[in-house]
Order: sequence, then C-alpha cells, then structure tokens
Amino acid sequence: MADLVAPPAGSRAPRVARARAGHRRRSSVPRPRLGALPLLLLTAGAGLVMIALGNNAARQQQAGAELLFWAGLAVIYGPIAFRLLSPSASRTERISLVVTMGTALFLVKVLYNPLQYPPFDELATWRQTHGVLTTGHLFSSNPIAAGYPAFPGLETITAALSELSGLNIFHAGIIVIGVARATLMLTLFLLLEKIVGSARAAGIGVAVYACNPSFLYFDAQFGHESLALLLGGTLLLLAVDWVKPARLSPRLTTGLLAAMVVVACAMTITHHMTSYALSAFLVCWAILAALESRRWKIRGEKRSVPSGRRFSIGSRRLVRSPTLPAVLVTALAGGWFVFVGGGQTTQELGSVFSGAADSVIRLIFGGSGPKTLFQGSAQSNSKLAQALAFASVIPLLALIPWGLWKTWRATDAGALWRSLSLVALLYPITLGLRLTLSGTETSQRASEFVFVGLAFLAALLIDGLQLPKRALARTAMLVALAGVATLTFCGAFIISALPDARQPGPYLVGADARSVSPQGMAAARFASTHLPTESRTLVDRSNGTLLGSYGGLDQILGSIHGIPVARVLFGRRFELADEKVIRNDAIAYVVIDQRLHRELPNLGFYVEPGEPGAYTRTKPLSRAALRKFPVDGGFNRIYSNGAISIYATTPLRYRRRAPAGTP
Amino acid sequence: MAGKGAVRSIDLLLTAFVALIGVVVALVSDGGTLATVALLPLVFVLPGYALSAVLFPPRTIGDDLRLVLTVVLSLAVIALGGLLLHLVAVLERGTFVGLLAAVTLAATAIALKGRQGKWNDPPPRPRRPHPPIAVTLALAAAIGLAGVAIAIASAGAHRQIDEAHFTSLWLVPQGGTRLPPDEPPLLVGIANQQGKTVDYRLTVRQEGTEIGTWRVRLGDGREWEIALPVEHLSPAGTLVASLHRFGRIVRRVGVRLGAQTSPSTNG
Repeated sequence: MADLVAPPAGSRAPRVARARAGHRRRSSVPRPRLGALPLLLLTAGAGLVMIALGNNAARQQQAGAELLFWAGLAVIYGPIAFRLLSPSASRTERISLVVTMGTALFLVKVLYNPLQYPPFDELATWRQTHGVLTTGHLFSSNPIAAGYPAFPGLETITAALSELSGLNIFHAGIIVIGVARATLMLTLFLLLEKIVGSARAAGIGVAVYACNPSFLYFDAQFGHESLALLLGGTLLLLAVDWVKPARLSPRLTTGLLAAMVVVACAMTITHHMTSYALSAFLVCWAILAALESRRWKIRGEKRSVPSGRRFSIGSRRLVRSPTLPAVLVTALAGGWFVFVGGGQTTQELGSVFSGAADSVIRLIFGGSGPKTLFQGSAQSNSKLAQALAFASVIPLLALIPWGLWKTWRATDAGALWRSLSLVALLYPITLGLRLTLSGTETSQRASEFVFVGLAFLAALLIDGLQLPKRALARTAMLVALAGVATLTFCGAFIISALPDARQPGPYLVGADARSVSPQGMAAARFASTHLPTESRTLVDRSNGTLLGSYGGLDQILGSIHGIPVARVLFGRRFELADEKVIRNDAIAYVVIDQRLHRELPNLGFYVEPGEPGAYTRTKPLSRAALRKFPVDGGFNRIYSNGAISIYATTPLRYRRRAPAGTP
Repeated sequence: MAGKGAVRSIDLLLTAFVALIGVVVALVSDGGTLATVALLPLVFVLPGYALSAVLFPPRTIGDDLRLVLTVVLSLAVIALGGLLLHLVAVLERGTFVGLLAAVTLAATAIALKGRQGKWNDPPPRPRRPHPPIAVTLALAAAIGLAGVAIAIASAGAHRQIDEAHFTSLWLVPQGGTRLPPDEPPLLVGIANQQGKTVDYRLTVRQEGTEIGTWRVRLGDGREWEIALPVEHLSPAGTLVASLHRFGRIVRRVGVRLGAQTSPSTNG
C-alpha cells in the first residue's frame, strides 16, 4: 500500500518522515523550495504579453510581428526548460514549472483569437455542444465533422459547465480545456516520474513532450483529443501503479480497478484515436511482459511473480499485469466502435488513413513525387525557418538509437520501458509520412502519442548524463541543452503550422482561422435568425463551418450520382450538371463568397480535399464563376453583405421543367 | 472519538458543504461571475474528490495523484453520468446539478462511513507547507500579466473586426420551416456595420412597380427590418430590393415570387 504514497528518490520523503516523527511546531514545517519559480512565472507572463503584441502587429501587418511571437514563445519555454534541466530544482518546483509551462502555452492558443473559435474542429465541437444545450440530448448529427456525434464526452462536460454557470460555450470550453491541460502536465510528470524514478527526469520528459508539433495549437483547441489526452494519461498512470510489484490491500486493488474502469469508459466516449492508441500501447506492453515471463521460464530462472502482485477476484487468483488494463481499454473501445461509433469513426478516420496509405504507396512505387516540405498551396516558409525545422528533428532522432540501446540492453529494463522505446521508434516513420500530402495529417495526429515515447527516452537519457563538476561548465552545458530544447520546440511548431496559420492576420482565402471575417460572422448570424435550421447548403469550407455552427445550416459535401457537389461553385457558367446537383441533392441554399477569386486557397482546396482541382490549381476561381447565379436563372438572392451572398434555390428546384422540344 | 473523527474528516464535510452551496447557487442564480466561481468546484473538484476518497482512503495515494484523480474523476462523472441520464431525461441545468450533487453527497457519505473507527491511532499528518510570499506575489503578477495579454489580444481582435465596414441587406420570405419558401409575407432588412451612423434609402420594386421606399437612419451595429405589405405584392414576379447610400446603389437582393409550382422529380 505504501508504495503508492512513497515518492521517488530525491523528493520530499525525509520531510514527511520528520513531520511524522513529531515535529509539529509551525517553525518545523519546511517551506517548499520553489527556487526560480517566481521569476519564471513572471517570464512566462511577459512571454504571453509579447505574443499578444506580436499577434496584434500581425493583424495590422506591421513589422516585428513574427519576431515578437517567436521571442515570446522562447521566453516562455526556454527558461523553464533550463530550470527543469537543472539538478538543483526541487520536486515541488519542477511540478509547478511543468504546470506553468503547459498553462502558458495553452494561453498562446487563446491569444490567437480570444473572442471566438476559429474553424474547423473547434466550431464542430461548438455545434455539437450547442446541440446538447438546445435539445438536451447527445448524438445529434454534425454536418461539420461526421465523427463527432459518436463521442460526446467533451460536449457533455462543456454543456454542464455552461448550464450551471451561465457561461457561453466559448468560455466554458476554454475553462474545460485549460483545466485539462494543466492537469495533463501534472499527470505526465507523475507518469514519467513513476516510470523513470526521478523528478528531474520527469520534468525533462514533460519539456520534451511539449515539443510535439500538436502541443501548441491542435491539442489546446476545444477538441476531443485535448481532453482525451488527460484521460489516457491518467489511465496509463493508474496502469503503472497497477503493475507495481508492491503488495496492495484488497481495498486499494479494488480502488485502482474501479478508477481504471471509470477513466477508461470516459476516454472511450470522448475520443476514438486516443482510445485506439492507448489500446495498442497497452497490448504491446502486455505482450512484452508476457514474453519476458516466458523468457525467464525458458532460461530456467526462478523469477516467480512477486507475491505482492497477486490478487483475487472471488475465488480466482490473478496476477496484476498490463493484460487487464489492455483488455479493459480494448474491449471498451471495440464495443463502442461496434455498437455506437463505428460508422462515424470509419467515415472520419477512414479517409485520413486510406489517403495516407495510398499516397505512401504511390510515393514508394513512383506514382507521385514527394510534396514540397514546409510549403502550402499559397505560401511557404523562409529558408531560415526550414533550416530550423530540419535542425529541430535531429536531437529527437538522435535520442532513439541511444534510447533503444539503453532500454533493450539493460538487464533491469522492464516491458514498460521497452514498449515506450518502441513508441519512440515510430517517430521517424511519422516524419516520413510528412513527405506526402495525405500523410501529413496522419503524422500530425500521431505526434501527441509518439512523443510520450520520446519524452520517456529523453527523460531517461538526459537525466543520466553526467554533468561537469565545475559550476561554469555545468551551467554552460545546461544552457546548451535548454537551447537545443527551445530550438526543438520552435522547430516543431514550424513543422506543424505554415506561416499564415501561426498568427492571426487579414483575411485569406481557404485558410480556416484566417478566413473568418466579420462578413462571414454576419452571414452566419443572419442564417441563424432567418433561415430554417439544418437547411442543406452548398458553401466553401470556411464559411461552411461558420454557417454550420453559428448559422445552424448543414454544409453538403461529397458527390451525388457521381457528380461532385463542389463543382457548382467552380464553372464559369451554370450548367445542367450543376442543376442536377442542386435538385438531386436537395440543396436549399448556395452561399457565395466573392473574395474566393482573390487567390488560391491556402489549404489547397475551396470546399473539401476531394473536390475537382484540389491541391493542383494554378489559378484561383474566376469572378464569372462566382457571379453565375441570377434571379432569372432560378436563384433568389436573399442576402448580401458585399463579400458574401446567400441564394435560395427554391425557384430552381420547384419550377416545372420545360416540356421536351420547347425552345 | 466521534468529535475527533469529524475533525479528521473535515475534508469530506467541507466537500459536502461546498456541494450544497453549489446546489443552492445553481438553483437561485442565473449566472454571473460569483455563480461561476461558486459552481466551478462542483464541476471540476467535488465529485472527483469524494470518489477518490471512496476508492483511495487517506494516505494510500500521494496528494499529487489525488489531485489528478479529483479532476479526472469529476470530468468522468459528468461525461458518463450525462451519457446515462440522457437515456432517461433531458440534459439541462437541473439534471446536471442533480447528478453532480447526488454523486458528491453519496460518495462523501460512503467515504465518511469507510473512515469510521479508523482513527484509533492515526499517524499525525504532516502540515501542509505554505508557499513563500514571493511565489504568491509572483503568481498574482503572472496571472495579471496573462490577463493583460488577453486584454491586448482582445483589443486587437476587436479593432480588426471594427475595421471591416459593410452593410448587410436581406429580402427573405418569412415562414416555412422545412423548405425555403418563396411566397409572402417577406421581410426586408438592413444591418449597419459601417462603424458609424449611416443614412440609407431602401426601395423595393416588383417588375418595375414600386412597392415602397424607406429612409432609414441606422447607428453602428444596429439592424432594421420590416415586413413588406402583402396587399401591394403581386402573387408572381420578381421582387428587387435596392439599398442606396450617397445616391448610389450599394446592395441589391431579389426574390422571384410564385415560382413554386410543384416539386420536380429529384432524379
């Protein structure tokens, strides 16, 4: 029982022992050694102010915007990384620092737009939460993201907070994700501390985890994964406690089991990918643990299961091993897939993974060349940024062979260490996926899981480095390591986001967050008050998420009878095929943004990745294509704000077709 | 001994007390900062703390792991409880308050019962150390700086929104919930987002015949809307609304009335 309480070496055990020995006078209560925490709290705050100023400068296209932004990030991350590397920081200080780092970097995402969610994922979650608040029920359909209705965990929590406090969805969502982020940092710290056995290693590991390309924006957004990572991390933490060799009382065994069941259930209904990734990891861990036991038996070594790891359910005597958590998570995720979310999950993830696999096969067999790295359809990174991004992956790649050698050669390395090193081995593969257009998303979405393995290796290896005894040399080495960590952190952000996506700024075509404009918001407000909800609407992606969330309309995608619906927007003239799409797909409204002709879409497509001409266009849409919907042609132009017009298709869809032969 | 036990279980008694305060606030308040502050523990802390007290008696896990479990189990209670309750009830304020209060109070009661008689020889718990004043001040300053950063970013975002000057015009058939209707009554409306008060002239014509002209003075951010007089409209023909400013047309929208005959076959 005591093992769950006992902190690792170098922590506060002596203090607790002294207190238990009867030192109860106030003067005997030791102050927590928080070292540089006050200073680093202030530098983190200053970094946030720099980023806010940089973002404002970017909105006005003023000089120095990028410099302020990057300097702000470095001011938040660098000093905290340095202190986490230092051997002199106390455990309490390290915990405070990782929570400060996680919270400050979460606020960087809030500073991007502190007034509203940008498209795409966050508005999909907004719509789902709005559905819970307005209907009082879960699982309402979501035209923005097909897979969202089947995983209502985050929406239920946000709706509960919103209902109870009166906060709107935006503010409630920020609080939920902010609390989840701060708790995730503590969870990761405890997890790595339990695995590696050192508070310093844990702090270093968390700092390296923050270098994953999804950490700054994607996993700070109002999305399922941001919450599920906390649930998955907690489950892993409980599983590590579960397999500890120490004897547990029946009550504590039951407590751990019950906690694992509750957290696993919550994770299962919150996010598919996290459940599947954790399931895969636990299965791998269970297999390696089983092989380990088998190897002992084959060698004739008498390494019997420690008696402390035995427990009983009824009359059955069992051993606490990773098998039970693996079976639990796999069964829950599989059951939820089969009975609830299979169709929607397949619809959402199927295209992502099949696209990635297809593009990798075509790349390998010469069907297509690699994509140009660090370049979007209408923008690219500077040479310096590209060099920084390339340089940032080198330290991480270097960790892997070193870590594998250490974890697989060491006699005392357990199955958990080996499983985590195998996870880290996936990192080069995910980098390879970035050579293809479709694989980039898979790579991005895998990073938050793969970096758990890299964080473990970094914790293990860097903590094990022998620091010089001379103070100056030691400080220089720590500064160098912190510098490399900061470079890795900044490089990862370059890898994950193109320049226009990093900071706010003027309107851009097809650029998700940068495509949100007051005109789009005004059109969405009009739709919510004047148009029937869930009306089927043909619209570009950015306005589609605004209209699909705040406007309550349903954006129509895909194809009908083999004709892609997006083609209606692209041709210079309105043709018979376009009319068929509108009639057959029962499209009630067509929304046209006249600004689409200004430039190529940043994302590479106007409506959806599968549209005709996606990623291959060399010229933007013509003005004629956007002005081909006259009232005489069967379109009622019911709304206009200059940039955006909404056309009702009623006359077109319900007019009597001319008899054959009529001129 | 009972009194001593109560002192030892002060955390659980406090949990129940704060939960009850949260229930009262949720029932009598419609929101606001104070209500939010009072209710945040009910969402993020109390159910999880009470459950962790049931599953892990005192001193069986460290404070840091208990903190993680407090938050995570609280969130799990809402997610899983909401999922179960949605099968039998509508998820609304009362449902959520009932769920969180019931779980918190029930778990607190079980944990209290579990602690009974376990205090015969309790090891003295180490006093919780207080953070140094420098850390408290630095934390306050850092929160202040984060607030300043958010204020700066909000001001920048507002300024960008305010720089977009435009006017919206709409002419939309009113009524009908399933399909976009194309019959009277019709609403015509203007929304001013020009950043200042603007004088507009709106004319509505049907096939060249003037239905009406309105002079509208609208402040920034204000809307104006009117239902077109049905008696002046013909059942068929194209209706066009033109918005004039400084003597020239700045917006035009149009609706064709009476186009609906019968739904065409949808192929």
